[in-house]
Amino acid sequence: MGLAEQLSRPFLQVAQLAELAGGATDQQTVAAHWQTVRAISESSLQLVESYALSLRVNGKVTPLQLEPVTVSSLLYDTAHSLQPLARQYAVELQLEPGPRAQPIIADRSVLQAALTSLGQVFVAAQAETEAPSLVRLSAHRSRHGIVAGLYSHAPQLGADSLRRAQALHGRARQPLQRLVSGPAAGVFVADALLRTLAARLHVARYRSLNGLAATLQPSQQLQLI
Amino acid sequence: MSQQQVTTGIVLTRVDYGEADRIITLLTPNHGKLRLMAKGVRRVKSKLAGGIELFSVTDVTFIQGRGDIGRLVSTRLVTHYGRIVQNLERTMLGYELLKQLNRATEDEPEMDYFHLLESAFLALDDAAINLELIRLWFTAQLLRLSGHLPNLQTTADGSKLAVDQRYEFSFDDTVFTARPGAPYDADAIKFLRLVFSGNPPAVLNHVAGVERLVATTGQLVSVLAQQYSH
Amino acid sequence: MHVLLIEPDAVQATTCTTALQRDGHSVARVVSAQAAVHAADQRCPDVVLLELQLPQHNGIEFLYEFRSYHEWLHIPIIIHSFVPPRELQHAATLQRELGVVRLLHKPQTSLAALCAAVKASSSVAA
Repeated sequence: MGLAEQLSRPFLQVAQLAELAGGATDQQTVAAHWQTVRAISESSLQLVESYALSLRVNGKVTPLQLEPVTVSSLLYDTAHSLQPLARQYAVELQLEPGPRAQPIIADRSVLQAALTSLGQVFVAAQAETEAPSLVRLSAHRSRHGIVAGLYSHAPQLGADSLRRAQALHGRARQPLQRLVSGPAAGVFVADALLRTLAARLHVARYRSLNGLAATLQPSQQLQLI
Repeated sequence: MSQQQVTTGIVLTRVDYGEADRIITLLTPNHGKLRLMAKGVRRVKSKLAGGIELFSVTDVTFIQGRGDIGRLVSTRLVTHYGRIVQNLERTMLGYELLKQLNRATEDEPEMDYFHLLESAFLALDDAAINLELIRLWFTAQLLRLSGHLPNLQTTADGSKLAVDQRYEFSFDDTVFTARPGAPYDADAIKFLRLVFSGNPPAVLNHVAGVERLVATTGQLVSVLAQQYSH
Repeated sequence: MHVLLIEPDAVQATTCTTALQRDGHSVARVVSAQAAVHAADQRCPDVVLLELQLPQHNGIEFLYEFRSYHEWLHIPIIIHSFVPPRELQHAATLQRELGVVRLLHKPQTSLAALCAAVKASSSVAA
């Protein structure tokens, strides 16, 4: 789906929930609808903000603020920010921060935004599969660096969605008549943000789950401290 | 004792039969159109459900009964042209081509029809190839295989087609006639020659101005096909 | 009426289901084309609400598959999709050959309009 269409999806959800809330009579139902509106609105705002951040950083309007970042703390914060949305979609979030790893040098807010955007896609996509609804945020060491990513049972969150997302770079929208379901916007935004950190999103498999991850380089400088 | 046979095939149609069965019509290179009963495939867990997909080449094991309809024993997916179904327009054209071919062929079509369909899927699976080109090319091949080639070399009076002339097409005689201001120029006729001589869409797609040429010649081919379908 | 809702997005599915149930309909919701065939097998729907953008097999494939079953030939189908109708260049084919009775563009269709379309489908043969 085109980026614009992707971003309009939550507005549609909000409009429909508001319509339902308007017609509901019991307070509990109304409260539940408004809670969903809130979760969707907040996650959509986050996505738009992340997209804006990627444009600002790429356009050199906002400089990168590099600092030591521990990947495990980043994953904790990402999981925390995804909780409301995960609750709405009845998705279990699992956290595997991995063994004690060296810190990396990165712009924390950019990396956080990338992982959160990716997380939103993973959470929403769980409803499209008949497999168990779980999303695992995980970091582990590989010979190339620290692999931090999101994994799940959803088969469509892999090479295909990454290719579609990367095809959006430099275009206003995807080619017409794309019929494959599954959001590309969050993957696109995550990829755009990671590129500013000279990291790339790639397909990954870890502990029997497929997903998307970025390989981050631990800081050699910090090792000497 | 009924013997099991194996063949490659492309699914043309799937029609329900009873509560849980389907009759699958496959286009094969050596057995023409094969009609096979696939038992229990409507059930989600059927092991055959994945092997009889549309837009696929499949190896099927079957037992030919005494009547027209054999029994499907097992399938193995050889090639699935999965990118076709990622696009609405391509999916619909794919179905249209299957229908066209099914209508255009009797029960014993030659191997050429099987290869034509396979080539069509290959083209549809390639997002870079113009869809209208594929439609035009496919229709032209059906005309060619059925022996209905238009005269693309000479005019009605036997003169060779000239580079600097414009031509109109006579559907009655299936031949070009020179007339100033007529719709077809040398480029259009050369393009038709390329199309009707069986060049695959991947090659035709590289012809300079292919979109314009397809737009110019598409209707000619389509009307010809309609003419011969009656 | 019994509605078969083919909708991969969970939130969308919940809102549509709630609205339709409030309107007095029963709803079976599935996420994929294959699951839809199975669900229709279990309980024949009176109307199908279809999103074209589905995982694995798309909505067009579902349409052709669904219409290949003799007993489901006359069940009206409403497309309720993010794909804008003006981009559906084969809209006429969808309506003529595949029994699609309405094409609804999600961003432009309120739940009330959706329910009205479902209600109206009972008087329209596919």
